[in-house]
This record gives sequence, structure tokens and C-alpha cells, in this order.
Amino acid sequence: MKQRYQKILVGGVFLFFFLVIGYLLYDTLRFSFFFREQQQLFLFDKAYCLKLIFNPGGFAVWFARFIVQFFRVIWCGPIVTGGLLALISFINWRILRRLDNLNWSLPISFIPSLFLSVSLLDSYYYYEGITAYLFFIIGLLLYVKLSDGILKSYFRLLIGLFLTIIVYYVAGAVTILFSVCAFLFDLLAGKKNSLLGLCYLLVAVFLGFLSVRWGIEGLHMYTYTPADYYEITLPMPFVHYVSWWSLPIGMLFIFIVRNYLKNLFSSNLMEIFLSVGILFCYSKIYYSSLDHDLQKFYQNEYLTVEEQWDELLKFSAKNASKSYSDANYMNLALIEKGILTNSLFDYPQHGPLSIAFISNNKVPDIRLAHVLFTMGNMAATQNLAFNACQIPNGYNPTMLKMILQIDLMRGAYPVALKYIELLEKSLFYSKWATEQRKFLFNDELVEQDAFLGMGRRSFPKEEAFVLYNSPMDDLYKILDTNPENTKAMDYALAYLLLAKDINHVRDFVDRYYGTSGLKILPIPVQEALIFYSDYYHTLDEDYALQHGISKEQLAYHLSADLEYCQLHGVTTETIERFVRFKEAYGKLRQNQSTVLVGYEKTFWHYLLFAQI
Amino acid sequence: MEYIYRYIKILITAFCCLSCSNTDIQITKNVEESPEIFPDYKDVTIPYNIVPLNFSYVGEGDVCLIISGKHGELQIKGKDGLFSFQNSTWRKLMQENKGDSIKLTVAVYINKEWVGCKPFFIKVSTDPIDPYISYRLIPPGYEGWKDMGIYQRDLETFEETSIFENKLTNHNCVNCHAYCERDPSKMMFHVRAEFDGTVLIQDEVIEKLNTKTDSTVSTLVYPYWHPSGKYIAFSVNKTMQNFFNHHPNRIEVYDVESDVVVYNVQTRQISYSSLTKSANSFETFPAFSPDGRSLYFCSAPKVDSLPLKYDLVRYNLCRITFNPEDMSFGSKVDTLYNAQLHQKSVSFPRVSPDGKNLVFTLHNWGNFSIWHKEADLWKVNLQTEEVVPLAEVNSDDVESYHSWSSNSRWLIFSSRRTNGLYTRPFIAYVDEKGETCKPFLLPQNNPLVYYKQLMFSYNIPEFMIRKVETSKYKIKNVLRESKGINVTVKRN
Repeated sequence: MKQRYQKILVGGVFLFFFLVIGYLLYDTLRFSFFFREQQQLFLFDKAYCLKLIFNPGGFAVWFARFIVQFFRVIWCGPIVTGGLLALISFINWRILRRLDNLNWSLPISFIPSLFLSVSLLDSYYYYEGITAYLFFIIGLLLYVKLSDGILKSYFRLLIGLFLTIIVYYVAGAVTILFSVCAFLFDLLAGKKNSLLGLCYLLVAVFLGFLSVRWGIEGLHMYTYTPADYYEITLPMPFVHYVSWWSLPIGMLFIFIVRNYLKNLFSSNLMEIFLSVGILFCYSKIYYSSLDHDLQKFYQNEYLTVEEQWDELLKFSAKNASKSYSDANYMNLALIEKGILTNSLFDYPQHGPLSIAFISNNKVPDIRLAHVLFTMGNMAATQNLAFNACQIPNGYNPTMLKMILQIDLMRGAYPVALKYIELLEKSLFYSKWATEQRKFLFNDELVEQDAFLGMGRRSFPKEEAFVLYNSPMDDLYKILDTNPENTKAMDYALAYLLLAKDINHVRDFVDRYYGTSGLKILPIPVQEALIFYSDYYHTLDEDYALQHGISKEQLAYHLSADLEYCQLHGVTTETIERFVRFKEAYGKLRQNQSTVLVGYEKTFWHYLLFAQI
Repeated sequence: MEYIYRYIKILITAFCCLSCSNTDIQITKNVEESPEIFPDYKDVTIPYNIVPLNFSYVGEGDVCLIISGKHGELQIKGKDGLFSFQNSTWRKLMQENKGDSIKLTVAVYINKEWVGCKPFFIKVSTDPIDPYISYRLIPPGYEGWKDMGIYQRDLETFEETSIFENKLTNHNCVNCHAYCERDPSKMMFHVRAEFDGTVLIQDEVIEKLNTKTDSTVSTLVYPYWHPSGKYIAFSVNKTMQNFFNHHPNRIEVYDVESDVVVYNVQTRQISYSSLTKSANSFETFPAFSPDGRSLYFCSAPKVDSLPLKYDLVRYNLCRITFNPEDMSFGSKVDTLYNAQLHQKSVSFPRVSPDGKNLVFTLHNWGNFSIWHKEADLWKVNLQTEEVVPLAEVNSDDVESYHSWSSNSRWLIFSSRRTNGLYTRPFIAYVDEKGETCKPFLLPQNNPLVYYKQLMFSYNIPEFMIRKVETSKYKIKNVLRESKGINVTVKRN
């Protein structure tokens, strides 16, 4: 009865651990798990699977990628990972309790899992670090179980050697941990001829040596340490060693306590103290390792991929004043909702970089790819999206979809077919890919399709290099070719407004007002145009000439009078509002304490007060 | 480990071959339609020592291939459309029909009868092909990459092994592999980014060279070995790239500065002539003649305002004499083909080992022909200086890098004809008169599946007379651990 009660209690503890760790991962890392899915493309394809599995540690990689594909569903990552970590802890406990069946071996068994969850905070720590650990711990449990009743040492040795090789082939570098733990277990459990276990270590070292020698791995570091599961081009932080070391240290700790400190650790108080200590250290390390900015980026990316524009707008706007990246996502949400220009100044904006921030470094920029894709700058997107696909785990599915659509727009059908066939082998993208087949070698259908047709019609007629100067130059060329591209139109207007470029706003209105892409002038553009008209009509001619404005230019600017404004979409309401604004602004200039209440969300306010 | 994989592969291949049993069907009806097959091996000329030319029928239904040669007929049943030859059967077929043609008839089972498609022929040449090729496998991308490597392929089997992979050196860039006279005992390649340098291997001795000097605009770039093995000609290039907004070529890769120099392998010095390092022109893509006494290269009058005037950069095919005794250059440059006159541009001159023909790539402008849809292969008859396109070889898409086999009878070249982006290697026969035949795609065990799935481009296909045996472990150690030997400039 007591045993049954204990089993239920232990089961309850692990279930509780699963629920708590699952919730923690959901709360902090659910978008990170989603992003992991976006960094790979798992294929249900024999050649793909065999290529992975044939490498040492390849099965762990294959299994990790198989699992990660399900992280497309937002709750899946935390639940599956929570389950795996709970399973690792449970197996760990099954092994540790064989050394000594004391209650406090239970909290110790959670330490590796807890630190594996810390490792997952680092995006450069690959998920195969978790699956490899799982296979290692299963291997160790098998060893412990199989060798348990065996009296002959060499049988145990054979089992150990066999498992060392298997674990190496299945899980990679973690074999070294397996060999250390297997040896330590024999030694601490007082097995006969336990020093024979050193052979496991020798074999593990030899396997690693061979991998380097045969050119499978570049350095021994990748065959003996967790660096095997870390991005090769970066130095691995120390914290990723902890999950590895904690098990053998835990074993030693149990041994020492069992033999030398039993009295001290036998009380329940000590058990509670140990558990609280572990939890305290863990939570301290976990939360200090959590990169909030990165998680925000992942959330932005998730909402973008899922096309949850309202949510994206709500979330990204919170940080848009501090980060161009968030501002880009926010404006992306606005344009997808069709309200970019009209609602531009309802949200924090800091110059044209709020529209499209182009970083100087060469890191694949998927955010920018989304923005340029929406702008209709397909050539620049194709470059960015292709580069973003050059990742260790295969193609980024969202970027691959983009490349595929651009190739359909270009009429590059054979290569589009290649990508369709690739995506068709995936679980989550197969249906979408098959739907694209109808466009292959069918120009008519591509042109009829709202999205692909618009993209194809927007390829600029005037040949030029993309992003040679600014995204605005490319937008001009897109609109020259296809003024019906309303997204490009909105982006262009927003770009000019945010650049406070009223002269070009006027040129733009001159050119495009009345076309199907700009039938109604958005209110901020009306505000810019009336301001432009007023500015030049109140500008002293001598002052203008002294400041590099020629007479012809001035005459041109002055041609935009009130009548011009009204003819080009500026409403009476805007004109009257501008008159009131001018009065208010005049008062403000006379008396600094006056506030321009009611005009914070206007172009005028942005022009006069926003620093860019 | 590679050996283990190889044996596993052999076992799998053997199993597949055994499972593809011979059959005996009777064609009851013939049609005039040619079968749609991949790769298109119809009416190609192949060397007798090539690996089996497995191919797929791209259509529905049960299929059978009937092969007729000098010594009778053979039938192979298709499995999912794939006709896979047993190695021994193929070898026998090649030996028996050397110098002749084999006739292949694809029969399709339609409405309970075997319908024979229009037969096609494969000519089996008596001229052997070099047993190995090497190439770089890279994503056909623009700026980014992750995995890449230089690989070698046994042309008599389907075995592909790596010479060097960038995973051993933190995913940096490896490029421009070159061999002296197709012999890998003298070879080199460059490594860029981390652990950068030029790897020079001579009889298993590996050196890492630091090749940037104060007198040259960049590290050494496009190589070509002197036949003596004492020198390597290189270009030095300051290369940039920009992306077109709509042009089908997608990218323009261009040099804003470039020169041609020669590196002395023994003294580790580079030398150049003012004629190959002119301030008023861009020189690039050097290649020695087989006698080692001429250096071919491409030269374009310098164009300022790049990249905006990218389409005004046009390279001519030039030649300067080279004296291998004292590493000196001639006093004048001959223009062998003035491409500018034809509003064209030349890249990759390569002279056949018998010295009779020179093949180059011709495109509308610039020098980076792999991104030029219009790029085609052209030939100069070096005796008559007649310049003609290789009509049998060219396609509507890109033809670019090429190299000659040791016996001058085979030309391997890269082409984007299969899908417009992913470069694939094709091999063409060149007869004694210099006439070319229809090329064939590099054979694979299951070419349809293989090429569909391969997300890499073949880059710089080069023939080799034997396999590279140098350990990648040793190469990696040199790259990671050696500081490298500084190359200097020979002062006259």
C-alpha cells in the first residue's frame, strides 16, 4: 500500500514538474519554439532522412527536426519540450535512486532538465541537444538495467561498449557523458571490476578521435562537448555545460551523502532546503538568461507569419518608439490592414527607418524580407529570403514560400516547381505548395491572381539595381510601372511623410492623385500638402533665393495654392483644421507653456516636433 | 566512416540492381513520338568508360527499355519510370559497342499492349574520359551560404566523396579549386572569411598562403596552373555585386579593379607585366597554353561609374607570351578575339591540351557569366583563329565554366538549362576536327530524383586524372593552425 502510495506520489511530482515547466516554457519561450520551426524544413523524404541518420549523432538531429516541425502550432513546443524534460528527469531519477533510494535524490534528478531548459533560451543551442540528452539518458538507464543482474564483469563490459557505440551513432558527443556516467555508476554502486568501465570512456574518446580524423567533425570540441549541439561559428556559453555536469556530480553527491553525510541529509527539512535552493538558483539563472528583445522579435515574427495583423499592431506598437525593428513590424501590420498612411501618426514614428530599417551587417534579415515583399520590391526580397534560407537545418519555410511566389511572378517556373516539390514533402506546407502548382507554366492564371498578378505587374520597367540608394527609389520605380499597387503607394507616401519631405509629397500627389492607387488623398498627406502650400506662400522670396531655391523652383512651389490643394484632394475640413493649428502653434511660440492639444496625431505635429 | 558509407551504398546499389530484373516484352505497336526522358540522353555521344546512364521515362504507365547493340538485344523494366542498368551489363554493352551506337527504344504499356516510342541512339566513343571530376557544391545564392564543399566524383561509378567541406572550418567559403594538368598531386583552392588563405598541395605537402600584397588589389583569385607545375597564373579582383530589380539575370557581379599576375610556387613570389596589370583596363581569367609559353586572359577597358555603367564593361580575349625559364612576359598583347566589336564579352578561356582549340564563354557584358542567361560557349580554332559558337552544346540558358579532358576529346561545362538557376554539369564530346556533339548531364544512380532534390549548384567542374587522396583532416589542421606563408612580389 505504501509502495503504491509512493508511486502515485512520485508520478504526481513528475506530472507537476511537467505542468510547471510546460507553463514556464509557454509563458517565456513559445514564440522562440515557433521560430525554431521557422529555422528548418523537415521533409518526409527517404533521401533527406537517410542523409541525416547516416551521420554520428544523426538520429538525434533527425528526431529533433521531426519534433520541431510541430512547433508550427504555438502550444506544441512548450508541451512537447516540457514532456521531454519531465521524461529526462524521470529516467534520471530512476537511475539515481539505484545509487540510494533517499527522497532528496528526487530534486537532484530535475537539475539536468532544468538546465536544458536554460539552454533552450539560447537560440543557437540546437534542439538536438535535448533529443541527444534523452537518448543518452535512455541509454544509461538501459545500461543500468541490463547490467544489473549480470554477475560476469565482461558481459557488463560488452553491454557497455555496445551502448557506447550506439549512443555515439544515435546521439553524438553526449556519448562522452554516457561513458563517464556508466563508469561512475559502476564505481559508486560498488560493482565488481568497476574500473573496467574506463573502457567506455576510452571507446568514446576513440570514436570522437575518429570523427575528427575522418573529417566528419572539425574539432574534438564537437565530439566531446555540448558544442556539438551549438552553432559552430559562435563560442558556446558556459551554461550549456551545466546540464551535462550535473548528472555525474549528482551521482557523486549522492555517493558522498550516502556514505558520509547520511545523518545530515536524512531530514525532510534538508530535502525542502535542497529543493528550494535548486529552484532559487534555477529561476535566477533562467530569468537572467532570458533575452526579452529576442523574444519580442520572435513574437513579431510569429504574428507576421500567422498574419494576425491586429495582434501584431497591438504588440509591436508597444516598443516601436524604442526599436526600428518593432516599428517596421508595426507599419507592416498597418499596411496589411490597409490603414498605413491614414493611421501613420496614430502610432510612434521616428523617420523613414520606421518603415524599413536596413542593417549594415550581413545577417539574413527576415523582418526586412517581409517589409520589402509587401512593398513589392521582389528582387531585393529574393536576395534576403534566399540568404535567410542558408541555415543549418535547411530552408526557412516562410522565406522559401516567398522565393517560390517571386519565382512564379518572374515566370521562372522550373525553379518554382523545384521549390513546390520540396515544400510538398513537408507536413505543414504541403497543401499550400500543391495549391501553387496550378500557376506553373500558366502566365494567364498568374496574372489573374490578385497577389501574384500584382507582383508581376509591379516589376519595374526601368532596369536598375535595388536598394542602391534607398527603398524609396525602388518604390518610385515600382509605382512608375504599376500605380495600382496600393501597398507600394501607401509605403511610398508614408516614407515621404516620415522623411518630412514635403516637396516630394507634392510631386507625388502631382503625379499620382486621381489614379486608381490614389483616388482619395489620405489625411496626413492632405496635411502635408496644405503645409507645403502655406510654407512656400509665407516664405520670403529673398530668403528663399539666398537658400538655394531658384526662381523657377519657387514659382513651381507657389503654384500649389489653396485651389491646387482643393483640386488635389485636400478637404475643407483639413484646411480649417490647419488654420486652427496655425493659431494654436502661434500661441505656443509666444507662450511656451501652451500645449498643442488635439494635434499630436497630425503630420504637422510630427514635422515640427518629432526628431528623426 | 566514409568507407563504411561507401560499402553500404554499394550494397544498396547492388540490391537495387538485382531487384531490377531483365524482362522479355514484345512491342505490338510503334508510334513516331519520341519518349520524354530525364536526363535527355537522346542521341548523345558518351565515353565507353562512363558509369551507366540511368534515366527516367517522364510519363505514366509501366515501361520497358529495349537496348539493341552489336551483339543483340537487352530489355530492362522500368521501376517508377527509372531505367537502371546493372553495372556489369552496362560495361559489357559499352565494350561491345565501342565506336558504334546503341539503339534505345522505350516501350510503354498502354491499353494492354506494349507501344514502342521512337527509338533514339547513344554513340559510344572509343575515346575514354578522365576518371574523375571535381566541383564545388554551393547554394546558387547571392551573398549567403551555410554548407559548401569541394567534392570529387568517380565517373566510372556513382561514388562522390568530399575533398574538403567548410563544416571543418566554421562554415567559411572554399572556392577556386585548380589542378596542374588535371593531376591532383598539384592542386590548390582558396578559403575566405575565417581561417582564410590559399591551400597549395604538392605531393601531399600542404601549405597555406597569405596572398594579399601591397602591390595587388586583392588576394589571389581565379587560378590556372602552368603545365610545368612551377607557376600558377592568378587574377586579382576587387569584386562587387548588385541586384537587378527585374532583369532575368537577377544579379550583376562586376570588378571595379582587376589584374593578372603569375605566382612562382618555388620562390613564393608573384610577378606581373605592366601589360597584365594596367591601370586603364581590367584583366582577369588567366589561362596558360599547353606548352606554357602563352598566357591567355580577358581584358576590358576600364569603365568608371560602376555599377551604373555595368553594361559597358566588355572583355576581349587576349594573349601575351610567357617565358617559363625566367618568369618573364612578352612585350605586347595580342587580341585574339575582339568581343567589344560585337558588343559581347569574354570569360574563362581554356585551351585544349592538344593546343588546337580554345573554348571561352561569351555573354553580353561583364565577366560573371554564370548570372548571364545569354552566356554561351564559343570556340577559337587556334590554327585558323576562326571563332564559332558551340551550337550543339549551347542552350537558351546559361553555359559558363568549362574544362577539357586530358585527351582533348571531352569538355565538361556548367549549365543552368535544367531549371534556370541550379547549375548542373554537362559533358560534350569534341571530335578530332573540333566539332562538338550533343552533351549529356552528369549521370546519377537515379538522376530524376537526385537532381530534383539537390539544392546546390555545381561550380567549377574540373576533370582529374585520379582521385584526390589528401586528407581533409590534414588540410583542416593547416588551415586552422598555420598562420600561413606570406607571398611577396618579385621586384625587377
